[in-house]
Amino acid sequence: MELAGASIHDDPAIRVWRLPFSFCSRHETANFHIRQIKKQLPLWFWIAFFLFVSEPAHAKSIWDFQEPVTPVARTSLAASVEFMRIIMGIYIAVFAVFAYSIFKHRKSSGAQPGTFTGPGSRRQWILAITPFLLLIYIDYIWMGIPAFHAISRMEDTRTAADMTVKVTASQWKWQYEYPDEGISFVSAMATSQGQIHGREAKGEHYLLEVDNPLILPTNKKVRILLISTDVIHSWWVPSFGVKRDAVPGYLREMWVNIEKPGIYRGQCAQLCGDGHSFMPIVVEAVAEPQFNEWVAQKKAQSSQAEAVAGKAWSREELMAKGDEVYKVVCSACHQADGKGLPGAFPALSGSSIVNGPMLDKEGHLFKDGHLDRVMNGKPGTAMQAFKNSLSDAEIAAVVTYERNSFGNRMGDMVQPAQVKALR
Amino acid sequence: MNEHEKRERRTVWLVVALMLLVAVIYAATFIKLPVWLPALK
Amino acid sequence: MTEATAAVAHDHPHAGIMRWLTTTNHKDLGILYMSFGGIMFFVGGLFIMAVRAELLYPGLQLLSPGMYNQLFTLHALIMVFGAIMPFATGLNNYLIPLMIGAPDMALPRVNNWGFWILPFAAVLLLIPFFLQFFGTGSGATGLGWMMHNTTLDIQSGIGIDFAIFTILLLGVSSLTGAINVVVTALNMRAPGMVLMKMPLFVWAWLITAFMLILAMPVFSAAATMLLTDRHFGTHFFDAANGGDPILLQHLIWFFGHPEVYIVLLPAWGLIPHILATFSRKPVYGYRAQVYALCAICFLSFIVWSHHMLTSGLPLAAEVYFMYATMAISVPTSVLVFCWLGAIWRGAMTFETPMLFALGFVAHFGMGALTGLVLPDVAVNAQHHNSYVLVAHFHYTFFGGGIFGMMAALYYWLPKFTGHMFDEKLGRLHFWLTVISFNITFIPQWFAGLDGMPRHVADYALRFSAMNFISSVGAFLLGLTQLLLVYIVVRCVRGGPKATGQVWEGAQGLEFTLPSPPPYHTFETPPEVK
Repeated sequence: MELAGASIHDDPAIRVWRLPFSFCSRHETANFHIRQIKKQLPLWFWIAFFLFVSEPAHAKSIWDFQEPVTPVARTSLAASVEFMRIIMGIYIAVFAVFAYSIFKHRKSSGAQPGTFTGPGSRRQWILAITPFLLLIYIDYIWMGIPAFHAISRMEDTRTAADMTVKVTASQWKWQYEYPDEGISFVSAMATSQGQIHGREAKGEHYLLEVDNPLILPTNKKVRILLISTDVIHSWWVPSFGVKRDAVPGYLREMWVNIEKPGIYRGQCAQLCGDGHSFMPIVVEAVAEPQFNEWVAQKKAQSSQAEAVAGKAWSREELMAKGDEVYKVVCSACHQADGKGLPGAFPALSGSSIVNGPMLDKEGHLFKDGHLDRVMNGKPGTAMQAFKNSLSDAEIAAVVTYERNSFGNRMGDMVQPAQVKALR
Repeated sequence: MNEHEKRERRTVWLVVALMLLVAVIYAATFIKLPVWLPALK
Repeated sequence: MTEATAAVAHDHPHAGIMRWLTTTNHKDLGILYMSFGGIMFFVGGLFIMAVRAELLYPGLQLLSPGMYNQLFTLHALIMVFGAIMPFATGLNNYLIPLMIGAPDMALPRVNNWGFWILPFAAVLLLIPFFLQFFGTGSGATGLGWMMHNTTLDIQSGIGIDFAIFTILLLGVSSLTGAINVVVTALNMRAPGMVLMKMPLFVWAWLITAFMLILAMPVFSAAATMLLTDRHFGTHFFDAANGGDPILLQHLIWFFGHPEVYIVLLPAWGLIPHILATFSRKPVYGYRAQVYALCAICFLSFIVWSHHMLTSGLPLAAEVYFMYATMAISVPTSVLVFCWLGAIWRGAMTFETPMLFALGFVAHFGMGALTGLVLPDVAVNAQHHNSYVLVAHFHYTFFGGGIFGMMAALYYWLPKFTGHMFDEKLGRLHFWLTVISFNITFIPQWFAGLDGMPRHVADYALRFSAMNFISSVGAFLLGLTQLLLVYIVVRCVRGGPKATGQVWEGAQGLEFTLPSPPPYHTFETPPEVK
């Protein structure tokens, strides 16, 4: 409790937003919850209610999005706030008339009912038509024309783009690729199952933290290409003001130009199965020199990895690497204990595929065998073709790991060089 | 033909026409119109 | 006469349960439809209570993510197709013949068939949900009410197959109901009741029925295509084999957007009745409202893609769907203006139905005005699939649809039962509903503005406060509805006798009959001047 509480109170920007407790965690007693509720609920309720009925005119108000850091986000936040003010104005104006009528035209105060069924005089007709003209003006001129320009700019992904990033969505992680630099890595949620199930205190960035964040340079127009390997996902970072679906079979695109260095967090915004809540996006925006440094470092790492892939790996190396890969890539479905989820995801423990052959007599992939399944996936299911997203070493390691864990005792192993040859 | 029979006949024709309309729309959906309209891709 | 008179020429042909199974009487079927809608309202409510309990605190406490997805999907499907639509159909069954001076609906046997499909459809939808507890299958559909993630639909377990058959059955039921309404309204009106004298509730239902006839077959066809994709080797939507996942989104939203108005139009039709009655004035702007309803019907068929503005449509399509959607605000505000005109300079009293009607106007207004913001494509990129959207459509569906249905229930309940309900409890129910409804949904705006996506079983800590308040509000809202059951049951069992007129200012043919109306009414059509 103290852990979670402390981290929240350290950050004044976040403090206003949340109550520092979680349910049924062994770190947080029931009394603690009740104390918090007693202390905060009435206050919160009234603040929310008051802000809702009052003019939205605060500096960082409850009406704002997360801090906008791209031109697109600033435009849409401004448009949203302006639009909210307009509709609030309309609402107050219309319901002031309703309220006047409700208080004035009561039977109990002796009102005599009228018999009119429509506007009678010319003056009444003008009164009746004006609101509609005003509405059309708001729709198509006041908000409509800026909206047109905003969309045109939002959709113009190609003009003067400085670099391209390819985002590949799959259940439930993102793969980021920098085609020009030849860098590619997978980014998955780093929050532990213990935090989710209340066995550990929740960290400050609960559910919004990943193992490998996307690194982008500031003040560059970055064109983001989106594809998906399985179902439809949606890439959304609230601070960037863009959201776009990643649709299988289509190439979708959008762009960001981050103006301020920092770490920005978002989530998948399209229901994509059981892990939908656990598919965060973290973008670290850094100045250009730092970005170049990072690129150089990454490149060095991958050439090193390539060299490593060529050598013969020992069983211990494969098992250690396989354990790492399994946790990130496989355990969301097949579970940490390899038992799967009955009815949804098959168990690896004792599976006939995992405990079956990998290669046929000619040394080709054994069809629907273990290695084939991992590399080429099973069409029509959540099991995707991992040869698209994992390296030779990663595939070799994870297959070896699966064949020698969870009670499986095949005793054999696969070398990265073999995987490379089978691609 | 009295008024009731006329009404009955109108009812039958109306129902038949509406059911045909339903069948036509159902069948037309399989043409996959949104796929052929470039503006909706 | 049609088969109507032949089928019901003798009074109450069966007693007990057989009466309800075999009835072709529009009043009996109306009551069946409304009771079914009422029961489903509580089933759907129960599901969302579990969802809100999970969302009370961050972290997973009660449900697995898969179970969570099933529960909110079932909540949505049941509320829209099981609660609001059947209840509105029940109202039309009971009221349209009374309002237009007809002895029954035009197709009474079809009417019976249309109703009895519904319980089976509901059972079909829920079977896989219960099967999973016995280790069979992976549970009910958990893909959202419009199943808009095409490839996920293709991959999911048996739940989606059951959902597809449910949709096909509901399609048949809705279409029989719709055709019945069209034929009744066009063909069974009492002499002298020309179309432009038809009560607005009947007009609204006539238009709703046309929308069902135009939109429902598309939904059924899309569901069929999904079924053949899953089991019979077609590739309509399967991207891996050259299909088009966006096609399914187009088809279901081509149905899904009119569906929004199918839910709302019956409520829009009955609100003027109630406002006029308790203001003791004639309906204001009758023609304007009829034309506005027609315009909304037309517009609802050309704006569907505003539900898909983040799916990457071409620029031209985005601009078109934005401007077309904004156009809906004009006829909608004509309606609001007419509601204002209805109470202006009246002599108002505030019985429960009037309170719900005014509550409808106030909450629906909020939903409608936020609907003005959402089509702005740039802003939509932020709001789409966030909790802003959840709040928005609950203000229209609950604040509009359900408030409207409750207003109608209280307004015609004395007519249905012959007893007045407990006015004090009714008002209590109204105020508790208003308060808990707003506690539930106001925080969702702010969670959404702050970046909370929808459909998530677990959320980041910055959304904790808003979700906590929202959950507490939802529990209150759920509990409050038990009061409604008590009020209705007590009213059915007894209470002060209601007059035929029921309300002092009530107008319309149904109020010329005694309360409750006899089993057969208007066998000789009344003359309408």
